[in-house]
Amino acid sequence: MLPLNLNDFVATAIVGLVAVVMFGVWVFHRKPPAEPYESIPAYQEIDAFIHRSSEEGKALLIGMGEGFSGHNTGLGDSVGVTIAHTMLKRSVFNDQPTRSLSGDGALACISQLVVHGAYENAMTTELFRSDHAQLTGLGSFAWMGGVLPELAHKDNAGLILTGTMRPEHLLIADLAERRQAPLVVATGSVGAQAAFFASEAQVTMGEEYFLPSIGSTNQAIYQNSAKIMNWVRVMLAIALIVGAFLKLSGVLP
Amino acid sequence: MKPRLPAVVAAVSGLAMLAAFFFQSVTSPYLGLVLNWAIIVSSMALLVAIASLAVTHIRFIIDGQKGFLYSIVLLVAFFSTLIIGWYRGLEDPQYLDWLRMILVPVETALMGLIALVLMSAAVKIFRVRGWSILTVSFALSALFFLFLNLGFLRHDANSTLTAVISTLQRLPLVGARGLLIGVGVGALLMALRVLFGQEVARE
Repeated sequence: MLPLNLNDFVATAIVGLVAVVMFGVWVFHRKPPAEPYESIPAYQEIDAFIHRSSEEGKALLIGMGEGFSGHNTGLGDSVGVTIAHTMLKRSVFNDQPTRSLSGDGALACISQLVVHGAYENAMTTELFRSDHAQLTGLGSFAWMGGVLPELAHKDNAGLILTGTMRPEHLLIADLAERRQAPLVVATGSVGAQAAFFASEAQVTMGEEYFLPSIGSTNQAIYQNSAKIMNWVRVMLAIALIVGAFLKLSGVLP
Repeated sequence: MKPRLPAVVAAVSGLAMLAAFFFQSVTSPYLGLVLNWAIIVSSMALLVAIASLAVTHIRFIIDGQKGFLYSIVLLVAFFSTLIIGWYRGLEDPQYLDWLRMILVPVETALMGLIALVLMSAAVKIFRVRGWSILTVSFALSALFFLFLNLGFLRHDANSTLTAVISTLQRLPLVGARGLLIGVGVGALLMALRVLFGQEVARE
């Protein structure tokens, strides 16, 4: 049996704290706020992509990242699936189908289910084709190698990279700039955020990635989530300052 | 009920795994079992995804779609790797050498290209993002910490100066941890939203 250490208990306390704050926000903030938080620019851009692709009759591409398995242990790709789901729901009837490109078997299967679900909800399953959600290669480089030729097609309205990214994927941004294809990068990986900041792509910064505020339907949950994150951040900051003070004053060992 | 069922299954599974983590004296044999299930399901998903990819490219070739030559290259490479690996075994040194001789040069070339692209992106940042406090501080801090971490500033005789330099060298780590706290809270919130079924309620 593995004994639980102090870190495990601190982690449990933080999970409990977030759950309590979630419940508090749910109970006390039922009404929409008078001054809502502004939408995140990267997600506004995705919203604009969806409109542009349906107006111009061009295809949208979603790069889903490396996936759940392999070296990646983060939750980043779950948000990527949510973003893909939101986009697909609104682009089912576009002239060109929205296609997602995954770097992992499980992620490819899940994104295929998501695409199929979007067509099923729109009662147009006959329009669904398995190549709308495809595995492009296993691992970081192989996935990127699959995304690059797809991006090079001229009938693309834009590319959305969402999920777990690496700084090396800046090569995609470079091709997008040369092809003048708009690019949005929604990722929780700090290294990739820093690398893509140097490109023309619209990037989510810090925790923005976890607040996918695309379109009006997601606004309520976005406002509540942003509120919860602010509260938790304030509490953690206070706890860190108090902890540092106690440590410096010798109270904590 | 139909859209709620997967959310309920996900929530119950997640909560059960959390509970199992905290009562390992009772649940440790089952934790390993569940992990094996996850590996098997993930492997099956990979096989399904590869089969789907192969079928798609076979369809491209049959339909004679634009760029079907690339589909032929992909299928030939895939099936030759599969068949040779099957015939000679995955541990066969010659088979591994063949794979290495293809993969290593390709990946090295790609890494070289990435290094150039990263360098050009660093140079282009002001043209792309304009001159603002954020871009100037981003570029200056990158340059400063690059210079500092290359080890040019050293003064072994003066312990105070060494301590100051060491503290400065840790600053990027402090900033990254600050960002990671935000990212961690975001990931935690996302996980709890899934566990409590809020992601489905949004539908």
